[in-house]
Amino acid sequence: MDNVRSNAHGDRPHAIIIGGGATGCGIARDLILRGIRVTLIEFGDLGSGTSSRFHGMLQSGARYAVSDTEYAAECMAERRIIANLVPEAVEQTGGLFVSLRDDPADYPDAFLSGCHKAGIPAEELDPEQTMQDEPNISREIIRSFSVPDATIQSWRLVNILADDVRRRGGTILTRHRVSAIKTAGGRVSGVQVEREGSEYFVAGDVVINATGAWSARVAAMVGQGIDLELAKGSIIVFSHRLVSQAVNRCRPPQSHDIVVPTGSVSLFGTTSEVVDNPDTTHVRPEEIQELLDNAEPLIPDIRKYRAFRAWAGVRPLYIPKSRPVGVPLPRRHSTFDHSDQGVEGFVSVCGGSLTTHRSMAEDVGNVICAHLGLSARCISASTPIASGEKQPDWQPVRDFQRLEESGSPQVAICECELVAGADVANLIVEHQLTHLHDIRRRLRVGFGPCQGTFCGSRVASMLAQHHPDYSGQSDLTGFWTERLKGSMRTAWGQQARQSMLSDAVYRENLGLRLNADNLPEEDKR
Amino acid sequence: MKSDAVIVGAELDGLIAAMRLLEYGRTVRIFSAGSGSLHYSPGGIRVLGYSPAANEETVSDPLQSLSLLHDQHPYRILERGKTQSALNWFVEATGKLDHHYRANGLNSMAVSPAGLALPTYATLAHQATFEELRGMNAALIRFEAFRELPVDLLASELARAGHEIVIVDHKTPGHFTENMALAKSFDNLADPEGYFSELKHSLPDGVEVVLFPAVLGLHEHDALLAVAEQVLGARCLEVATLPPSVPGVRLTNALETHLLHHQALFHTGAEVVPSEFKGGRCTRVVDQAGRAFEASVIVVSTGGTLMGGLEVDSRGRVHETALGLDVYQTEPLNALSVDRSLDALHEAGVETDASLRPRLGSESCENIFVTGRTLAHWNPAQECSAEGVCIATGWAAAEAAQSYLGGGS
Ligand SMILES: Cc1cc2nc3c(=O)[nH]c(=O)nc-3n(C[C@H](O)[C@H](O)[C@H](O)COP(=O)(O)OP(=O)(O)OC[C@H]3O[C@@H](n4cnc5c(N)ncnc54)[C@H](O)[C@@H]3O)c2cc1C
Repeated sequence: MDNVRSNAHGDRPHAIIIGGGATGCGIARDLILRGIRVTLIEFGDLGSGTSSRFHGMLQSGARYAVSDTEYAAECMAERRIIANLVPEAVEQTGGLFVSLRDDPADYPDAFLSGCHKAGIPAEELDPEQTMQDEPNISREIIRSFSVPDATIQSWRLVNILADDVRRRGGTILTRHRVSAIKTAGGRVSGVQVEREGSEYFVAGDVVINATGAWSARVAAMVGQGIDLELAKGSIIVFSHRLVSQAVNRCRPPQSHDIVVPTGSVSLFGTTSEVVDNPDTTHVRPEEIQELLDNAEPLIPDIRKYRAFRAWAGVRPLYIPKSRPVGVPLPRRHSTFDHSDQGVEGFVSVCGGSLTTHRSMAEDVGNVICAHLGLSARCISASTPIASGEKQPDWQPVRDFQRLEESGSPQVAICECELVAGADVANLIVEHQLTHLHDIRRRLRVGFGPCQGTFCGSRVASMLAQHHPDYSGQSDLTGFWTERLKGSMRTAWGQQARQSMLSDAVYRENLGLRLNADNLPEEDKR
Repeated sequence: MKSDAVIVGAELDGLIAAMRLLEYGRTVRIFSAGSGSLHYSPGGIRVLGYSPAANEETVSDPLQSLSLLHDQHPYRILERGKTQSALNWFVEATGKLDHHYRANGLNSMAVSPAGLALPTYATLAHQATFEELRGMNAALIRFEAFRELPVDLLASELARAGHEIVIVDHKTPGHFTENMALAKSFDNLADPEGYFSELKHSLPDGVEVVLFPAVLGLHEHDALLAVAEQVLGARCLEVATLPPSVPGVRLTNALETHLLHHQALFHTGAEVVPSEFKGGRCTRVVDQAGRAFEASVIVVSTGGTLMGGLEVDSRGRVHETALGLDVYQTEPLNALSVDRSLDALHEAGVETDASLRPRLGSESCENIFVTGRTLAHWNPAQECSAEGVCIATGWAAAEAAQSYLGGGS
């Protein structure tokens, strides 16, 4: 603790936010807009927790229209706000709810009236027309509805929020881990942070626990308990857009009932199983079979399509004191002011979804302001974010044109996701990026069907060019093993060949080695 | 339309088996669905780079170390000495095709496109090795807009390994920057002396070794490199690029040209579909258009999962695609459950007897021989053994086929 980096006490209060997912980034923005100084501390890269291991949807709320109408209404309101605030991270695909022959026959009517109550514009469609519009889905559709579901690029969202916070003078520390929360006389005084073996103290007036699945662990640092159920969900990624809109089963929400088109891929999910450890990101092969079996009623040929990856995320669901038996846990978030339990200035938030991250942040902001005796109101919904181009993210035609206009088609670094060399170079220089993973998350390099087989070493070469002490061998190994970890789960059909090709390139051609020393460890928060 | 042998798949092992059977005066028909995995090979013959035991240490004497492999490994199921004979034959036979290797029995460390070492039993005459770079001032040539060699990565890894290296930019002979097209523009270079003289002006003084991306021609590379060495007054070497590998294509071309000259029949773009077995034999293959071809022996050199010779279904079961042979795999879901490495997929494949004949029920199938990546129980990526196993099994399959056909070797 010799390296104390305490913030000099200025006139404005200082809030420390632990966790750089959608929630933490949203809170940082909410608070700084209310005039509070903020420091956000994230263990890995921004969004590297559940916020990137999700299903890609900016929910209209229709999914919860029957089971939790109030939460559905919140989703709809937030979905509108987010689409206005960060259009460059959102694609307004629209959503479909389809009722298949064997689905509960009374659900669709309840669904329509639930949507109506929640203010979700849902419209009944002609099932024949739906089947024509979506040729890959079941021919057994009895009823179908359109709702304003959308998709969102979470990497983009968190970085846009964080950039806005930085521009307004906030501090964002990534690759820092909070190892302890310090208190003095029943009040929080700051946090102890670890970075690459060294530790220091950051002083603050309030500390906010926005660590999602890890929030019970973090609360335990000051002896606080949060009742969480950790529900792991696994998702399979298919090449191409199998559907043009997010397609949901029209039945009470349960596992494996949504397929979502995003970027150049489709996501099908999810499984659901309770786990003990928030770091669990392992997808078991049995889960893959479970997903495929359950996808077949909706997408009959699903086993014939090319799947190229699978991942899992952990939902932090809050267990209310009076837990109703036999119904799913509520999705709405909960905010805890631990002052009530004797730790002044410490606030936790959990539950909710990526869609509702902003309203979660608003609630936290209200609690914090009440605590600090400030009257500043929430303006995060009405204050625009000044960032680059206000364009939807998925624009293949635009990207092709850009590559063509840049003179030589050879400048594409990643053909799958149409990433230009110049963009990679700019990013490396502008943001001082030193790792392939950081570039991957920002530009989707290596996200496509070849999973980094060809672009990995090209981008590594650009990093080597800009950073004299860049360690290519270990960075490439880390990048490739991480890509493999996800793609091996779906190594059948064409993807088995693709994985073997990737192995041929990385091990047989480039000469990387896989052994016990360099197999990727799961991140441990 | 009968031939003595049908070779399914134009992998290195299949081409070798064909070449050897032609030497014995046999008639040969070759089916290939596409280009073989030599297109991914950085050049050079890798026999065994890493020992399976002892923490996967780098092997210095690969032939000596074969005995460390488990006893189901293709090298081990072949009789002792066969691998050595096959390699000797290969180096000599390809030498006659102007494809020259340097082999002294020990591994050299070939330079990979990422600047890492690839333990290699026989390196090409102009293939860059760490041995040749040791203590030398080296220059690495970077072509503008050429993406297939990560030059800065290569240079930084070589520097990390203690080598003196500078990057020198030079133009390409034409405006093509894709491997094959670029190699062809080197073949068509009108004035090689002029081209390399211009490069000489950009080279710093005292450069002793010049490293080029391995694209200096598909046919003219030896001549061009000789001119380069003369003009630049330095040793000139090639470093493999990302696939498709020009050195791999050169070898494929050399072998295929030779086979065509010796009246092998090629069916390119032809896939073979599973056909019937009678009395422990299969004497007919059928292509995807339904045409049947008779043969006394069939060699399956279809390149395993990488090249489509094996297929994995969505339940994790592995199938052999050409003849529908039985496949070994640890357990069905293993192909999909393997944690963090693809070893279960590498290890899956067809099991055979010592003559490379697969089992059919409880007996060996008399006239079928399986080679290369379609065989079970080896792992080219882990062992650094791709070309060695293909050459040894291709050669051994031809020997076994020849004796089945009633000839002596
Ligand atoms: C399978 C699945 C599918 C989903 N699909 C959707 C969907 O389609 N739409 C939707 O709206 N929502 C969806 N969700 C929910 C949504 O993903 C989450 O609600 C949301 O991402 C949570 O964000 P967060 O910021 O609270 O948590 P996280 O993104 O997990 O952020 C918490 C951060 O805290 C950090 N952290 C933890 N401990 C420490 C420490 N000690 N020090 C520093 N940092 C620490 C972690 O590194 C992590 O980055 C899905 C969830 C799952 C699991």
